[in-house]
Amino acid sequence: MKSSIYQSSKNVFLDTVNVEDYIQLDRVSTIYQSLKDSVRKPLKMILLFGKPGTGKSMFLTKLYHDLSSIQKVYIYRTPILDESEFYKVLAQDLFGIKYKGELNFTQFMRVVEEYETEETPLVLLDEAQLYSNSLMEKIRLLSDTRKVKFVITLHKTEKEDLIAKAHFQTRIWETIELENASSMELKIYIQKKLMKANCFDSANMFQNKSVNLIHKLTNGNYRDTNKLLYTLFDIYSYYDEQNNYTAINRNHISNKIIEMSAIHTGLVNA
Amino acid sequence: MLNVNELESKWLRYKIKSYIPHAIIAVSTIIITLSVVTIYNLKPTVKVDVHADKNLQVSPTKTLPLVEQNTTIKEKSQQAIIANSNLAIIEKNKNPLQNSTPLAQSNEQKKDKIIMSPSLDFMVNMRTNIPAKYEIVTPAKDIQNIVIEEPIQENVLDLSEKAIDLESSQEDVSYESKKGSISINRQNTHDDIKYVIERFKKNNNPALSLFIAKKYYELGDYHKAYNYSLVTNEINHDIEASWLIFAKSLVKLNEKEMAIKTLTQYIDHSKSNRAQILLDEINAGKFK
Repeated sequence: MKSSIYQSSKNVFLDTVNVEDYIQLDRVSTIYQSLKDSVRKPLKMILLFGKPGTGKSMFLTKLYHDLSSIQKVYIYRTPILDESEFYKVLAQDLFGIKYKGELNFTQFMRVVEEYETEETPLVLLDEAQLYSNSLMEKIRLLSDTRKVKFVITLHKTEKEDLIAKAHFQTRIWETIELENASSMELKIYIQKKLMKANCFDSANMFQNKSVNLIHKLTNGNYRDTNKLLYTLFDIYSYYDEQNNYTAINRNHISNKIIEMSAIHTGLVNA
Repeated sequence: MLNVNELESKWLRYKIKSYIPHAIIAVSTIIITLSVVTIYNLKPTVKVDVHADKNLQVSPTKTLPLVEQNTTIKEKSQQAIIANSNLAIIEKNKNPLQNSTPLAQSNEQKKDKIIMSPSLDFMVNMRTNIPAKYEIVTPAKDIQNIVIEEPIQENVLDLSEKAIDLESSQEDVSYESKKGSISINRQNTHDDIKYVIERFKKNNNPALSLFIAKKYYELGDYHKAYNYSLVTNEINHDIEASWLIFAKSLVKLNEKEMAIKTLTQYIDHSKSNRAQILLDEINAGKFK
C-alpha cells in the first residue's frame, strides 16, 4: 500500500502531453483564454512561443481538445519536413483530396483557392522551428489566402525570433509567450497534479521549503520539474521497498532526495 | 532502475563540494576575527604595564601623608622635619635590607620589571614637586610658618618618598648605572642639559638624573642639583654619587647641619667611605 503511494505519485510526473494532465493555473488560464479568443478573431496566424518545457505543446493539445468539437481543427505535433508530403497531408486532412504523386506548392495553392468552405480550418503546428525557411515562407503565403488559419509554436531562441521577425512580423496578429512558473505556481502545479491522481499524501508533503528548492533547481520549468519529481518518487519507492524509513520522512519531502534527483536528472553537476 | 547507492555517494560528494566555499569563507572570517581580536588585545596588555607602573608610582604618594603628618607634628623646624624624614628613610631602608627574604627579592624583581617601562605620571609628579623642594631649603626664619603651609609638607613628602623607593632598587644600581654610563655624553652647556632632561623624561633613567644633578652642581645651580639628586634617590636610593651631590648641594645652600645628618644616616646604612670622607671634610670645614 505504501509503495503504491510513491509509485502512483511517480507516474503522475511521466513526461507526456496529455490533455488530462493539463493543470489550471491562474496565469496559464488567462493566457489560454486569450489564445482561444485570438482563434475566434479573423487572424491569419498566431504565434505561440516560449522556452522548452514551458507548456507550448500542452497548450496546443488543450486547444485542439477544446476546439475539435466545435470547429475544424487539425494538429500536427511532429513536423512534416518534406514539402510535398506536407501539402499532401494538408490536402487530405483539410479538403479530403488524396494525391498519390508529387504535390507542389503551386498545385496546392490552386486547390486551396478553389476550395469553398463556410468555416476556415485551423491548423496547429507544433515545433515549427524545425520547418525550413522556405516551407515557413510558403505557410505564410497559405495564411495570406485566408482559407487556412495557423497556430504555430516556436522555441524561444535567437533563431526562432529571427524566423518570427522575418516571415511573420506583419502577418501575425497575435503573439503569445509562455514563461516558466513562479515558485507559488509550481507548488500549485505539483499539488494539483498529485491530487488529480488522488495522491493526497504525497501532495501534502510538498511544503514551501521543498518547492522553493525544486524551483531553484528547475527555474520553474514544467518539463524539468516533471523529470525531477519522477526521479524523486522513484527514489522514494526504492527506500520504501527497502524499508529504509530513516531516509524518508512522510511529513515532508527530503531535500537530500530532491538534490539526489537533481543530480540524476542532470540539473545539478555533482 | 535507479542505482540509489551510487546516487547517494554522488550526493555526498556534491554536498562536500557545495560546502567548501562556505567553509573557506567561515574559516577566513574566523581567522580575520581572531587576528583583529589579537591585535586589539595587544594594546591593552601594554596598558596594563603602564597601569602597573602608575600604581608603583602612586603607592609611595599614598603613604606620604602619614610621613607628612608625623614630620609636621613631631618637628616644627625645617631642619627637624628633614632630619626626621631622613630617619624615616633609614628605618625603611634597614628593614627591607635586613629582612631580604625570597619574597622581598621577588617583589624587587617585579618592581625592576615595571621600572623599565616609562611612566609619564612620574614625570608629572616630579615637575610638581621640584618647586616645593626648592622652597624647603629656603630661609630658616619662617620655619614655623613653612611647617604649617602645604608646600613644606610636600617637601617632606618627597624626602620620605625617596626613602620608600630606596626599598625596591638595590638591584637597580648596577643595571641602571651601567645603562646610564653607556649613553651619556658629557657636555656643559644648559642646552645640552635640557636635552638630557628630555631624555630623562622619556626613559626615567636615574643615571641621567644623576648626570643632570652633577652638571647643575658644576654650573653652580645648587637648587637644581639638590632637586635632581633627590629625584635620582627617588628612583634608586643606593646610588652613592647622588647622596654625595645631595649633601654637597645642601652645604652649598647653607644647610650644613642637614647635610651632616643626612650623610651620617647614609653612612650608617651604607658604610660608604666616600660619604665618610665628605662628612669629615664638612665637619672640618674643608668643604664649604
